[in-house]
Amino acid sequence: MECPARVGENPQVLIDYCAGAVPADVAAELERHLEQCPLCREFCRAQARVWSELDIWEPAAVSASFDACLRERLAQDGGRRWKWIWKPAIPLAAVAAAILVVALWRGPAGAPASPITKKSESVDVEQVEKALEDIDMLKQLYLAPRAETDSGEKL
Amino acid sequence: MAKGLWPQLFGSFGVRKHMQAIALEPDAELMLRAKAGDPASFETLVERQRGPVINFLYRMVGSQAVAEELAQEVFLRVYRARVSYQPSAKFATWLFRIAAHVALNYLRDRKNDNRVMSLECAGWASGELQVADQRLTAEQEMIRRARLARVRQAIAALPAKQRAAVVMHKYHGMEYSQIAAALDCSESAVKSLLFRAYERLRTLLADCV
Repeated sequence: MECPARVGENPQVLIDYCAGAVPADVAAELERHLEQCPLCREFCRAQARVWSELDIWEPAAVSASFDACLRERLAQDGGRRWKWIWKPAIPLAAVAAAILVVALWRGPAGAPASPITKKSESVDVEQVEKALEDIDMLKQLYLAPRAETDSGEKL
Repeated sequence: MAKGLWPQLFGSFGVRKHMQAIALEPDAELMLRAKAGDPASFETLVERQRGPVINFLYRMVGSQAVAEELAQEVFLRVYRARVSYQPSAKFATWLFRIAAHVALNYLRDRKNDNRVMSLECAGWASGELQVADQRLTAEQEMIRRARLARVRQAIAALPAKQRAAVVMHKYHGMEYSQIAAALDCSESAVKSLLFRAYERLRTLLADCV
């Protein structure tokens, strides 16, 4: 076996060995090597010491309020998301409502008559007047020949 | 009513299809149920995973209060991400990826804040929230606390990414591939990180015993 401490990436094998993460056959081979190699033996001794020292740092207990705080934050987050969704909708709704109010206010009751309607009304009056004048003219035309025949008969 | 029922039915069929396709681990199954709109599943998931997440963050930042605050951020992100969650990787790896991201961001942002830094350095050295071992004598307890403070200081002395790799490797028993996925780097980069980290720890903890 090549000396793991002397070959490039191989010290990782020694780290895995100290962590108990190598297969049994590799472990047996390494143990045979360690008996002969003081360099690897020293490496493993130091690494095993680090490994056991790190065990001293035990995890702390989770505080009792953790779940309640998280639940509250999730609820707040949900609310905030809704607010975020509704944020642009509020001014849009206000603008739409304002347009609707203006449209209703300027609608049929209060709306001033449009110039087109005025024009059509004035056209109607003129037409009636003209029609009446035409009728008068027709009457005169109708009466004039009769007057002429009456006078001829007399002659 | 029918309008609201169909998406639910389709959603649950989708989840079931997923569950049949992959032999799902319990956490991924809970996450898929949360995705389908079951809040109880998310609560169970938090109950199962809050311990490992808080412990990881605690060893990363050195303060239990900060760790719990960051853990809340992690679970908030998990909750938001449930909609797009796909059980393509191991759930724990996905969760630790989020936790590592949150922790590394926190450590990066904190670098310039000397006030917080000094407070946390005091926390790192003091062995805060470590309960005294009742089986030990006062002298043994003092020695234990001193050793603990040294371990905490040694871990704190590591660069953030090396620290994350060591914590995942030593305390969470994660494989190189999982650490690589969580830290978003290659397996050989993880081996290199770990080798340099343990080298530093061997030096810092050399005269411990």
